[in-house]
Order: sequence, then structure tokens, then C-alpha cells
Amino acid sequence: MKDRSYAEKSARERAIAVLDPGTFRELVDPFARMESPHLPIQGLVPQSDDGLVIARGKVRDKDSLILSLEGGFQGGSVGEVNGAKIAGALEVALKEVRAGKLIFPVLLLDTGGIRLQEANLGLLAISEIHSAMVALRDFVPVIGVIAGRVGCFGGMGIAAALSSFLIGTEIGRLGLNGPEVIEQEVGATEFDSRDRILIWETIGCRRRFDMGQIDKLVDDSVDAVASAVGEQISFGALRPAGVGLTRSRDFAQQLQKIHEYPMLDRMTLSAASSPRSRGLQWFNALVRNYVPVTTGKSVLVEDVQWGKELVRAISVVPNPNARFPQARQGQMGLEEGWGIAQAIWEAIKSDEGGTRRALLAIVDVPGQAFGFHEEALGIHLSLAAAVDAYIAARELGHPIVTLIVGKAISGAFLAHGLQASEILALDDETIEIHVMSEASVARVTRRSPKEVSELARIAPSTARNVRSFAGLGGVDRLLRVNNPDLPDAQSVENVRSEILEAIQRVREVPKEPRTRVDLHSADVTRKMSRRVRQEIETEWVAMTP
Amino acid sequence: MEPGSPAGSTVRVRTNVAGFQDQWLSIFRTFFERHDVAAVIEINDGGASPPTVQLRLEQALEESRQ
Repeated sequence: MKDRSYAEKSARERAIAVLDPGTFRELVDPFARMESPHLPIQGLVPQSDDGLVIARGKVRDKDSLILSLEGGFQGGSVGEVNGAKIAGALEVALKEVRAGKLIFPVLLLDTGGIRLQEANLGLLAISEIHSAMVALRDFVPVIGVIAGRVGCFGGMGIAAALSSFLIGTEIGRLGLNGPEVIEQEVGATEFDSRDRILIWETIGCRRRFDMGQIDKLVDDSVDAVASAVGEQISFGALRPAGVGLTRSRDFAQQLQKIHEYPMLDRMTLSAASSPRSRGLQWFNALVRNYVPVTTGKSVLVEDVQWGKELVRAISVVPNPNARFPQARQGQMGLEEGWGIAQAIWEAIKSDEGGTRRALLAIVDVPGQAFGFHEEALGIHLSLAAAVDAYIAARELGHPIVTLIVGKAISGAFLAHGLQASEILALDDETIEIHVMSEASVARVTRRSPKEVSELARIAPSTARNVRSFAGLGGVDRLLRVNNPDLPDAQSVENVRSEILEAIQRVREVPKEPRTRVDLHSADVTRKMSRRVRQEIETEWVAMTP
Repeated sequence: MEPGSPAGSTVRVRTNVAGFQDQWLSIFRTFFERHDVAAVIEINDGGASPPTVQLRLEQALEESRQ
């Protein structure tokens, strides 16, 4: 008899299938009606569970928490409500394991990434998911499954890479940027989104398994997935704290691999000229007292002593000589993710047993690199290494402050900036903070570019300026400066003292991305993020014997 | 679908396909003629056609009786 397909099942059926018979209990089920309030105002029909099933139950008799994304609803995309369901459930589980209980979290992933209709709210939710996953990993293995036909992309592709143990089925795909988006951003010569064989040979789970980027490859069958999950929960080893991503611990080796990678014909030449970079300007002004950097590097790292604080500043800047053409304009690419991770782990190691230095992320990142080579080599993993390093550093007590001086976009921002304890931003209307170019949003959501740009009026989370982002609780403090492009000494001094004050606040009261949900500025804009969490906590307590 | 009150049933349909009001009405007329129940029904059609929804309603009622 032919095995039953796992991918054909709904999110709820997938959760039931991995749990011991009769133990499935759903939290915040469809009757709780935690729906997306953002879809109806955009003329879209919501779903009563917002495409996410939270289930508690037993796997091989061990308490487990299953989070299952419904690929059939809005492509499994992560918005405010389903994002808060995942983050909120993981946060409760984290509290429980910290109190000595054992709960095994399993993420059944089937998602294109951030829900474009909810844009920056999805982005914030995913930063909270990353944070909880990495914190949980110290106590229990966090298991990820690429469960369906959509695959797993965007910020959730990074989440997959953050799991302790990742299972993929033969029909699954995993990456950062989906082929359609790469084609839209760069062109069909870079990645032909209609070439299905090419796609699966590049980003299919079998290929990922061959490259060591997923831990176990199984058939698309209910029995195969259920037993793979069961085996991990029964026998899976803990991946202890402080080692970073198990699949990518050796950064030097990863960078070496990238440098040995043969460049094929799929090369789109980008302009060799270096655009004016605020990331570079502010790095030079703040960290080097206006002495310009001379080395041809895209990740700038330098330690400065500001009063009593030793601060490691990190900035990603354009590098016309970068090996990968798609990452020459200051994007977060393969080398940048690994590079940041290396710089952070270096600081973590050298501060062992002493005062933990502060980390300053100077953010001007126009996005992640969209390219064939990037996907083939696993850019999701490179960005995950940076996310992982930031979270590990924060958990160990390094105060992390982000200063947004230019663009802060999507996966690049998740990997460089969003894991900080505090986020400062220049109060400048030319700053852009969003999840995808308007052209790509139009293509993916099948709207006209005009409709997309008008959306910001009715859905503030799709707006692209820094004040809107601050209005979502995404920014702790907006800083006024005279000329953001060429900051004068006074402005630089003011910003420096703001950074030092932020470091001080964080040293006194530790903060994490989750803290932003409770910011006053998020009172109205993120009320569902709060309601969902309250509901999860209430139901969790009621369900605990 | 949830139990209704003695006062009667309510139905709410959310769809982004316009122009199918008659089909929806006839589906609910048939449903309540066939079954003597009071129910609160909420439908988010998710792109499904009215006949598919009709089938699901029958299944939901069947399940609620088990």
C-alpha cells in the first residue's frame, strides 16, 4: 500500500499525526477567533486560526508542543496573529523549561515567510520567534520539519536553520528568497522561477541534506515524518548553550567553502561603483573619529572604548570587490552573515569570565542578496548564524544596541539589528524599513504596483518609513540629527551619548525583542500580539493538570 | 459551526468573490429545511465554492452529532 502523503494533510492533521493517538489538545483553536484584523480591511478573507495550529500532547509519552503552519492559507505566511501564536507558545514553553519542566517544541513549517499584507508586523513577530527558539535550544532540542509543498522561506527559512534538528521531506524546499522573488529582483537569467528541475536541484530538501544543511531527509509520508520526530524526542541530544548553530559552528570553514565555490555562468554583473553609504559614514564618524576605513571589506568590525564601556561596533557596507555580485551594494549576503557571526563569537569568547562588552549594530542594509549562488550555498544558514550569534551574546549578557542610520530591510534586518535589546533610529524620513520591494510585493500578492503603494494608508504595517515602524513599537528612541548623510561632530556626539545611555539601560534591565510588544507605542498597533499571548497563557494554565 | 439559541440561527459568510448571494441563500435554505437545528455558522470561504461549503456543512453537522 502506498504511504499516505504528509504534505497533503492540513496543518491540524499534521499535528495530530506526530502526536501519540488521543493526546492532541489544541490551544487558541478556531473558536477563540484569533483572526488577522489586517486581512479584511484589504479585502481578504481571514481564517479563524490564522493558519496556525498550537497543539499540546505527547510524542512517545513526552510532553510536546506542536506548532503547525497551514501552507494552504496565504501560503503559510507569518503575520501578526499566527506569528504571535508561535512566539507566544514558545515563550510559555521557555518559561516552563526554565522552571525545570521538559517540553519538546516541534515546528511543522510550510511557509513562504513574512505575510506581505502585514509586512513589518510579521517581521517583528519573526524576530521574536527566532529569539525564543535560540533561548529554548539551551534546554531542549527544538525540532523543525519542512512539512509541505510550499517549503520554507524568508525569515522562517532562517528559523528552520536555527532549529536544533531539522527534518525535510523529499518534496520540500528550503531557502531564503523564493525563486519568484529572485527572478523579479534580478531577472530570469539569475534564477528562472519556471524551471522546476533547477529549483529542486538547487534548494530542494534532498540537495540541502547532501550539503549537510538539514539533519534528516525522509519520504513525504505520515509514518516517516512521525517516526523521525518521535526518534528525535526519544533519543535526540541536547545542543548545549554557547556553541552556536550546530550545522555551522566553524565560521572559518564556512567562509573557506564560499571562497572555494566555483562561480558558474549564472552571474549578473552589478555596477562596480559604490553607492554612498550611511553605514560607512556613521561607522567612520562614530567609531573611527572620521578616519575612513581603507580595507575592502563588507563587514566592518571595530572595538572602541567609550568611557567605561568597551563597544564592538559592527556595520555592513558596500564592497565593490565582493566575491558575490549580488552582495556588492551593502546587502547581507553569504559572507556578511558568517562574518557577523564570527565577529560576535570572537567577542563572546574573549569576554568569558569578565565584563561582557557591548555590541553596536550600525544598520544600513538595503536587503539580503538575491541570487542563485546565494540560495545554492544556503544564505538562510549564513543569516541564521548572525541571528544566532546576536541572541547567544544577548543571553550571555552582552548589551546589544542597534542604530538604524539607513535602510533596514527584511532578512537583512532580522540578521543585523532586530535581535538587539534596544533599537535607536535616526528620525529621518528617507530611512526605509520594510520587507520587500514594491515590485516583488505586487508580484507575490497579485496586486498592481499602484494598489501596493496605496496599501500603506489602510495598513500601517505595510508603510515603509521609520516613524511608522516606530509606531509598531519597533524603535525605542528616534534621534534627531542635522544631516544624516554627513553628520557633524555635534550630532555624532549626541548619538554616541544616546547609545551609551541605551547600553546603560540594558545593563540595568535586560531586554529582548519580546519586550517591544509591551512598548507604549505598540498599545494600539500590536494589540493582537498581546491578546494572543494572554490567551495562550490562560489556556496553557487551564490545561496544565 | 456552534450551537444556536432557541431564538434561531445566524449565518455569516465572508468571501471576496462577489455576486453569489443567491447560491449562498439557497444553500442555507436547503440546509435548514433538511435539518431542524439552531446553529451559529461562520464561514470564511477561503476560495471554496458554495457547493463545497454545503458539503462541509453537512460533514460538520454529522461530526457534531457523534
